[in-house]
Amino acid sequence: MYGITMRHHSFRSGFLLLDALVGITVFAFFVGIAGFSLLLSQQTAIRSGDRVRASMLSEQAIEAVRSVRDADFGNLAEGQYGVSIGTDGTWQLTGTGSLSEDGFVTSVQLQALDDDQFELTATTTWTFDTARFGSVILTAHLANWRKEKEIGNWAAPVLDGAFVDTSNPLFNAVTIMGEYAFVTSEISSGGAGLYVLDISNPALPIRVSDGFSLGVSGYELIVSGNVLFVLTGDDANEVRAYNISDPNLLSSDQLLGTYNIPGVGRARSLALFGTTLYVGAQESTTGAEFYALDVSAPAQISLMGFLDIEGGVLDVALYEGYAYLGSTQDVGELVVIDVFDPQDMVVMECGGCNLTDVPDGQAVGAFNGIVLLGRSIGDFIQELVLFSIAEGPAPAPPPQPKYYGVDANVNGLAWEPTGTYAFLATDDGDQELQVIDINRFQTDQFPRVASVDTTTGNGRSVTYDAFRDRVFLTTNGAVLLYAPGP
Amino acid sequence: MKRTQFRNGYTFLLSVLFVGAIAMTVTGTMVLLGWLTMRTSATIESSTQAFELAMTCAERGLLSLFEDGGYGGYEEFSIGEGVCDILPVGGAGNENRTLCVEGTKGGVTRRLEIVVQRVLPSIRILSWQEVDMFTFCTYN
Repeated sequence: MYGITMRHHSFRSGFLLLDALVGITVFAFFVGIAGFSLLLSQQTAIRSGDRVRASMLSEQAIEAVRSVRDADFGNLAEGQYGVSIGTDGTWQLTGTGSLSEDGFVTSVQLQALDDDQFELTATTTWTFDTARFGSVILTAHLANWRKEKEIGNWAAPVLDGAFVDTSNPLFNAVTIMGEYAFVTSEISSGGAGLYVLDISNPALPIRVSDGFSLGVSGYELIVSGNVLFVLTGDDANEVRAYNISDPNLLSSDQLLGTYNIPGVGRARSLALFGTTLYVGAQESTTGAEFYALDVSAPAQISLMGFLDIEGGVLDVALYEGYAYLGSTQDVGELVVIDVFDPQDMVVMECGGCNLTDVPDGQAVGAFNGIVLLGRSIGDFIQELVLFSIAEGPAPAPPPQPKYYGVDANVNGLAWEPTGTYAFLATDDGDQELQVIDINRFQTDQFPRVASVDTTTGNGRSVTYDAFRDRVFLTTNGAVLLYAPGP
Repeated sequence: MKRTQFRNGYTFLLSVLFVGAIAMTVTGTMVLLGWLTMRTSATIESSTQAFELAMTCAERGLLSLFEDGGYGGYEEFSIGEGVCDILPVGGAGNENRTLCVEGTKGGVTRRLEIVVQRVLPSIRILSWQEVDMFTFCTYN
């Protein structure tokens, strides 16, 4: 028998057509939604692109005006401008707006806030169709911080003012904060250790907070914001931090924090970079000589790193990530340390740092590609040494350095920031303050262009105040202020 | 004998659900992409303004430092709908000063860290860089 397969199909009339129509309709509906969302997404992306483009054009306009300012602040004047690149390839302010190739209009509005500041508003607008329009507005301030202050003629210094203490307290170092000078002293002859002078009238410095006494000798000191860091002869707290938000109220109550340098009263030299305080100490067989302290919280000064090196550190100068130390080391009166990472400081190889004979490096300065080192007096040496560090951080061996015979201890050293003049505090009885012309020194001419004789004792330290263009010389019994000559 | 039975409309329903799911996924994705694009452009605009606010504080801070070597920073300025802050100025005297500033607009913050080699007679900048976190400055 052959099998017979029978199929039963039961059709509902018209269902196929209806099914197809409904299916197509539903499919079209969903495809329509998807298509619409694609279209919407594309439109959104385009509009977002417009806004990003406008932001960039507004920023470009601000940078263009900044470039014009960089050339000369006097180029800026109130008004509305466009920006364009001139024939010389530099940005210029032109017209009242500028049109980009893709149709954005950018204008900048300059409004003077005072003699040294402008408010700058950059507006970029666009209208491409009914859905593509808008504006982006950016605001910034431009300041005249590139202006230059003139330095006076220091080849003829004149005495401007003096604070004299006939008890000869042996003044040490000076630092300036606004209208006040902070001066340290020894205490062996009755000094207070720390003096605060009101120098709002430089011709007549007046001591304030005169009831305050440090209780121990004060050495180098430095101001950061409203905090005074001072090195003291305190056996257990060599580094002290005082709140000096009101210098007239300096007292022991204003002590914020301390740090104990291992050993007994060894700390002698100080430098600050950011929130890192570098402290140099006298030589010790048991402790290190160079410390990096974190002073971001003056109440909790903490150790970041230290270096145990040969010789004591009598002075420190920082320059471009390196510390230059005036050292008591007999075979390296100048020491160069890489302090880029205070937690990993490294002594640099220095072929030219070992100078003739053994007098100490007592004062050091680093600026404008040179290092100046002042030494204690010696029979066979010249006490002021100039190294070039233009080719690298560590001075190279001869033909450099250059020398100048001071014939006295160089106890302090300062310089004005153009690098034209340096100032020496010396033991020379007739020339306690000496002015050195750096250019003459570098070109093998006699470098001293001026000197000052004072009857108040040896020159013990010197500080240059760039904001007043004044030199502060400390002696045994006075703090003397000098001004540049005519 | 083989009997085939159709469940009427079942294929259609599956097709509709399948196509619908794809369409809704595509739609959702597109809407989400569009929203993200809009948000990105708004963030870029805020970021640009935040940068200019930071630059504003940098310029104001440098001018203040030039005019007063004892300038301590720690200031805030409101400009438009944004703010910029000058953190406490680091260092002391005329050399090796640090200036840290930040500008904030629409929840976006841009930070600049500036090392000033010297202040007078004219400001000389050793480095001027945008940073994610400050390394030379603290907020207190």
